[in-house]
Amino acid sequence: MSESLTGLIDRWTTRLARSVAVKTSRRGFLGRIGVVVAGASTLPLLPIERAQAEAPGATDDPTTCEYWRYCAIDGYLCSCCGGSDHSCPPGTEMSQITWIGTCRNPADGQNYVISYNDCCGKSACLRCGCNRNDGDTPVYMPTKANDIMWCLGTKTQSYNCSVARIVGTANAPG
Amino acid sequence: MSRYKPLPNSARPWIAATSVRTLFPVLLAACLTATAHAAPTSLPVESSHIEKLDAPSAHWVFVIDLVGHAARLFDGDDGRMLGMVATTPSTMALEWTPDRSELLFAAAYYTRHTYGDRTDAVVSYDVPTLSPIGETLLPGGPPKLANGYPIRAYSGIFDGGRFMAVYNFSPATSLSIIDTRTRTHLADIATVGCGLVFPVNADTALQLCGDGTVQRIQLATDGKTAAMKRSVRLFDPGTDPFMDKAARDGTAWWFITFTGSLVRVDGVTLQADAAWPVQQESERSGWRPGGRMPIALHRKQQQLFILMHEGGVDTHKQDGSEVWVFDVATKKRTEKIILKSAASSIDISQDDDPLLFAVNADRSLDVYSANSGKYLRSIAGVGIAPVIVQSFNPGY
Repeated sequence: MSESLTGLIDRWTTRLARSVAVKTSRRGFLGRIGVVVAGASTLPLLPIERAQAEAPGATDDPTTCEYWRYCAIDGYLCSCCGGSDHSCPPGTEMSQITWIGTCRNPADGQNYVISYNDCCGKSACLRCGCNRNDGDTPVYMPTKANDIMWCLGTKTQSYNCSVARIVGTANAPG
Repeated sequence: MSRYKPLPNSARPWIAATSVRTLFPVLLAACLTATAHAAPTSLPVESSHIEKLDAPSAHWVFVIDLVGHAARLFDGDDGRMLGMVATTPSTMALEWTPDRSELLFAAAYYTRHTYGDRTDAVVSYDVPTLSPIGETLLPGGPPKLANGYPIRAYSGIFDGGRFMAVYNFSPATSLSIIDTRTRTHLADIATVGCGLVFPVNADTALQLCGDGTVQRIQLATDGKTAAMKRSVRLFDPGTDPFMDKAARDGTAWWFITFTGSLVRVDGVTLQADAAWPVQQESERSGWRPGGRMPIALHRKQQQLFILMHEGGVDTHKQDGSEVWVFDVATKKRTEKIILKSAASSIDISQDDDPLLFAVNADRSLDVYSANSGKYLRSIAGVGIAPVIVQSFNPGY
């Protein structure tokens, strides 16, 4: 795992722990995760490496499901809804808790860590719906389950669309 | 002075050519003639009213619309829509009392539609009138109702209909327990590492857990606490997990794995029977179960219905083109129903002449005879995004 990815996970888990501590009961399971996420042994519990896939027929068009960084996305593409592949549409709020995938960019051959964030606060955009299930798990294994609505830690749970932000490279250390 | 000049008579030829004195008798005669001819066939004056439902049929079925935020009720025998209830984006499944007189479902309401103050509740609807008759408020604080793509096991009503459980994901997992008779919230029970709810009897339910076990939750008499016990590891969550969809058989549940192994788990003893594959040897590399609700059981006939498609890894949500029917006693496939259109969700009525319901990608509900596999009819436009179908059976 690259140093940048480790740093990313540290920042993510810190944010997650803070968010969960504020938003949920301490009896809850992620409340407990929040206590221990600093330990590397808990990494399998985190929503990382959700997929390492390159879609057949991958495109460079961020308004299509086949766009390379959408390898683990589930929802309406913000690129079609007033946002972009990494920004939310006006008037929405980005989810604080999310899941992360690893997708290969065919243009440079590198693997990138992708954070899939839901944009929240408005009703569903209903444009460019995509569901790619690479590595998807049942909802009782939530860290890799894309059927879950991830507008958590936001002012409202109303789901609008989803983005796929590059947050680092995931190339094996050389 | 008017800015407009009156039209010359030449521009109004019919007025110029006739006089009122001439026209009046003609118009009067025409009206009288028309009245005399229409009178015998004129429609009666109507009084309006609001329809009420008859006693539920064995073939009534609900379809949950994810985007239209509604649960619509249809008669599978003739395809008529009977009515609907308005749901919310947080409504994942319907429950009903054993006598089918009352519907219940979890719901979240914002004061400003998509923002503002939020109220979470289990709302109760009278079935004959499809009108709200009460609600059970869930505790305030940060929202926690599990939300996403509807899954049947996001809530469950226990046998007898007193207790109902609603699954929460905040992302801490828990169950909210309510008393449907007093419409009171009894408890929130943390379910660390496990999710969903599969009722077993009047006080017990199962959950699926991320470590490959099944958890039994037994409520105390007052419903405020629960005794929990995990099974031994029943599946490998890393390679072939149980789907989060299952079919009930009394105090047991039939679970199916991503690759197509069926496992019956007794909800009281937590014992699992030996798993068996739905595919024959030659089919294992090409066919898998899939969809949004791919499994149903006819309890009396002991027949399992599995929605199948041709596909490989990660196709567990792909629509199915066939329904395979299995005799539980022999574990043999007795029939393949080739669907008219690929379906995402199936369910079955529990009577002696059962109907198989299948929601397809064209937003229609296809109806088949479950005994013969014969296609009977399609009900078009059952929702904007119809996702799961629930046959309105007594009990599960």
